[in-house]
Amino acid sequence: MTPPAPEPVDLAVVAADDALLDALGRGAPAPADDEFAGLLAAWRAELSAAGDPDAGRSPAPDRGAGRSPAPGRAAGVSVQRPRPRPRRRVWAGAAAAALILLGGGLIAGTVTATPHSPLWPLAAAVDPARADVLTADNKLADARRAIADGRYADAQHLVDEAAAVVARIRDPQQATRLTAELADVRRKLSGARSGTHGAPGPTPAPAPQPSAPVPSGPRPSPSAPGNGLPVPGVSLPGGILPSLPLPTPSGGILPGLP
Amino acid sequence: MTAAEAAEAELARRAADGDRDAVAALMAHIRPGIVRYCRASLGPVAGAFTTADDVAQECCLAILRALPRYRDQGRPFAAFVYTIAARRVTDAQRAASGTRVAPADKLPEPADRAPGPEQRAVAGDLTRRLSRLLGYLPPAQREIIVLRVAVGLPAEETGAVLGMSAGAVRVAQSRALARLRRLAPAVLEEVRT
Repeated sequence: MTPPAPEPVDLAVVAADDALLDALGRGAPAPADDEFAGLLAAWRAELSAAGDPDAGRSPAPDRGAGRSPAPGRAAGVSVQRPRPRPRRRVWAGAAAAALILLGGGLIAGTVTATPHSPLWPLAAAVDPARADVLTADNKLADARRAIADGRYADAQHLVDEAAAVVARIRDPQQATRLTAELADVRRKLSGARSGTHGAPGPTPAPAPQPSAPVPSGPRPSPSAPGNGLPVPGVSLPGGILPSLPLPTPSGGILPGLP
Repeated sequence: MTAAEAAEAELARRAADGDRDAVAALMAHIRPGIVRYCRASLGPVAGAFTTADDVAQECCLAILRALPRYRDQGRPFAAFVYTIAARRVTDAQRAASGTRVAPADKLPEPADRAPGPEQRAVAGDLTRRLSRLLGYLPPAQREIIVLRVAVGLPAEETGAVLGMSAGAVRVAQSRALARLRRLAPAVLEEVRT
């Protein structure tokens, strides 16, 4: 018995489909007259809704009795919620527990990482907003120390860096707090300088810091043209990480972690 | 190799050599795609992507640990990344499915098949519908659609991840789309109602 012959390939259709998937993969909108492509585009947008805890809310009703959809990743671990179905609820809890045990320890490390932690590079990548707040706090604390030590040029440098970081913080509460702290440090620096009749600090004043671009929206795909891939030699957007004591990615970066 | 792929490979090479800035930049660069991959592959659990995002985090950690072993051998860096990510997703699926076969002391209550208020409220959810629809594809075609649409990899890199030529990817994705277009009306209506 011979297997059925494969369907003939229409090269024009293959090329059109390839172009469509390229566009959808870049996050481009679907053609207006293609309803299914619109569905795929909306799906991709939903998957990109990073940081939105409500993104992708979809407890699916269990309509699969008597017919099992093809097993696979897409449907593999869809554990449903609310209806009073005891066994399914137990599965959901057990699955969540297993996953928490599997990765909870490692994940906790990035959640609590600070600029001096080994997991800081990953933590900063995972939650750039939190990284900005912690970085601004650190720089302001360093600036206060520099003022206390009489290193006014260093303090000015740190204040400038902190200002660049504070400028891109979106959380209004944190932005207000840090802006007030920044103003306080600037006042102290100004007062300290005038108290010493403008004597220069032990290190020369640095060149003005270029303001970092503020990333907006979801990051483009790795392969999309003009996707903002960091050029070798250029640090992360915002420049918050290079000056921090980051670990090497050698085997010792996660000592003792499961 | 495109300019973007070459830049990514160079960044990965520097990261593998221990350049801290490159490690941080590389992780920031690849994470969004990994998150979308895990969300598309695992779908929402209990109404949210929390589990998928946790697995994405594990993927990032696994890649971080494997990075020193990365060597540019002409394959796109995406192949290195998504081979690791696919393993983690499979592990998560096994962990989840393993709990499903736990023996029960007594027979479970028959499921109430009527959608509840919350389920009706979210009946239009896209990921749920797409998950059901993609479940009708063969695994390789499903993975191609996830990598091409959800992650945004071009056909060449998708082929490198799956061990296929770019041409084979293009033919397979075209067949997958044709099948999805045929099935979509019935499957989506079934999920919706």
